[in-house]
Amino acid sequence: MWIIAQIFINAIIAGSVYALVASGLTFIYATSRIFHLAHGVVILFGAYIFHFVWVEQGLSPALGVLFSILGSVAIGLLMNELVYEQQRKRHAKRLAYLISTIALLMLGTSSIILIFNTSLKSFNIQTTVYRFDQLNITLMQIILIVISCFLLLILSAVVKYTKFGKAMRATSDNDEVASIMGINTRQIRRLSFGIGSLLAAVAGILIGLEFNIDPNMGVYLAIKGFTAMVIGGVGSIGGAIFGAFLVGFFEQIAVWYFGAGWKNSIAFVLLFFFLLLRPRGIFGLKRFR
Amino acid sequence: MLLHIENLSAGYGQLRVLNNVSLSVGVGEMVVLIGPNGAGKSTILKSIFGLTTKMNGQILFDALNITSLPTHSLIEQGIGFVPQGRLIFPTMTVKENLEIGGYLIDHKETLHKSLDYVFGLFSVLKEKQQELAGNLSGGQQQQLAIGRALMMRPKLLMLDEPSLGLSPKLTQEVFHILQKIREEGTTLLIVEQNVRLALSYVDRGHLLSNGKIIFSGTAKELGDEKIMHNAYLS
Repeated sequence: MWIIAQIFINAIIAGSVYALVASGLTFIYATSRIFHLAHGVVILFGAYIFHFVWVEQGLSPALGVLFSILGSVAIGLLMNELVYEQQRKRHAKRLAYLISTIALLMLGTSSIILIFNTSLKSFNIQTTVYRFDQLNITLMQIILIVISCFLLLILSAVVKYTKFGKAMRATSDNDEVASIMGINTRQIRRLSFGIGSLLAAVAGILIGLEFNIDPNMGVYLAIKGFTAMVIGGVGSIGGAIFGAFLVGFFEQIAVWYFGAGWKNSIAFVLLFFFLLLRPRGIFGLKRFR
Repeated sequence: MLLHIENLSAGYGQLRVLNNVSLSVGVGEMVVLIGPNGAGKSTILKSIFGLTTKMNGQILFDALNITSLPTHSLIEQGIGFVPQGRLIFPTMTVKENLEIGGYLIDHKETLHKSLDYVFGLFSVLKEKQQELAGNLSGGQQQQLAIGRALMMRPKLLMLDEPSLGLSPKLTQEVFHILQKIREEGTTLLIVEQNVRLALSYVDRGHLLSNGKIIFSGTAKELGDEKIMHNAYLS
C-alpha cells in the first residue's frame, strides 16, 4: 500500500514540473499555433544559467534565479522574433514551423554542450527529509510543489480575468477576428512566448534542484510537455496541467515496475496511444487539427 | 458625407479585385452593396477596414484620409466591422466576447455603458451573458457579432452578409435590429445577397459587377428588373 502512496507522491513532484512545461507550451500554441519543441532548450538554458551563477560563480541563488529567468525569456523571445515571426511574414506552412522548431532544439542543445560541456551538473543541496512510516518527502520537494502550484494558479487567474488573458483567448479562438477587434496579435504572441519562457526558466531551476541537469534533458522535457498537452486536449491549460500529472504518474509506475531505464520512454508510449485512440485529448473540445 | 471612396483600386497581394470604385455614404444613411458573387462587395468593406492591398485611390472618413491607417486607428475613428460568417469567439462567454469588442476602451465606466447599450438592444445577450458564445443559436450568434461591433459605439457600422446561413425569419429579425440601430443615429453600410429584403430597408444601393460599380441609385431605382438582370446575367 505504501508503495502506491510513494508512487503517488513522486508523481506529483514530477508532474508539477511537467505542468509548468506543458502550460508554457499551451500558452505559446494557443496564440501562435506552433508546437514549440525548442521550449526544451529554453528550459535547459534556465537550468544551466542558474547553476552557473550560483554554483560556479558562487553568487547568491536569488541572483541565479534572476539571471536564469532573464536568460530564458530573452532566448524564447529571440526564437519567436528571429525565426517564427519571420516565417509568419512569409506565410509559412505548419510543417515549416515544425521543422524550424526541431532545428532550434538541436542547435540549442549543441550550444549548451559547447558552452557548458556534457558533464552532469548537480547542486548537492542538503535538505530535510520528512518520514511518515515508510513514506519519504523532502523539504525541497514540498517547496517545488508549492512554487509550481502557486505559479499555475496565478497563470489561470491571469488567463481568466485579465484583459491580456481575454485578448489571449480571443487570439487563440480566431486571430484574424481578434485583430479586427483592435487586438495587436503580434504583441499577444510576444507576451505568450515571454510568459511561456518564464515558466520554462522556473521549471529548469526546479529540475536542477531536485534532479540533475544534462544536455539531453531538453528533448525529453519537450516531448513530455507535448505529451501532456495532447493528453489534456491541445489548447486547454487545465487539460495540459492534468496531462502533466498523468505523465508523471505513468512515469513513476514504469520506473517502479519495469526499472528506471523506462522513465523517459513512457511519455512516447502515452503520446502514441492518445494520438491513435483519442487525438483530441481528454478535455479537448475541438478536433486536433 | 461620412464616407467617401474615390477611384479605389484594391485587392489581395498581386490580385486586383476592385477597379476605380467611387462611392459615398452620408451621415445616418443605410446603404447596401449588391451584385453577383466575386463582384468585390466584401473587398470594399475590407478595404475600408484596412484589410486589403491598395493600388490607388483614397478613402475619406469624416473628412479624414484613412486610406492607410492601421485597423486599431480605424476602430478609434469610429468604424465598426461585422465580418462574414458570424465569427464570434466560441470558447469565451457572451460577455467576454462583448468585452473584446470594447478592447480599445480604456475607461471601465465607458465599457460598462457600452455593455448596457448593447444589452438594451439585444435582451437575449443580457440573459445569456455568462454562457459560452459557441453554444448560442445561429441568430443569437449574429446578434452577438453585431453587438460586439457596437461596443465601440461606431459612427459607421459595416456588415458583411449578415443574413448568411440564417432562416428567412431570423434574417428579418436581423434587419429589424439594423433598422433600430440606424434610427439611433448609426450609419450603415451592408453587403447583402438577399437583395429584395435589403432593398426594402435601405435608402440607397450600389450595384457591383467585376470589381466596378455599374449602377448607383435609390432602393426604388435598384428594384428595377432590367438593371438587375443585366448585372447578374451579363
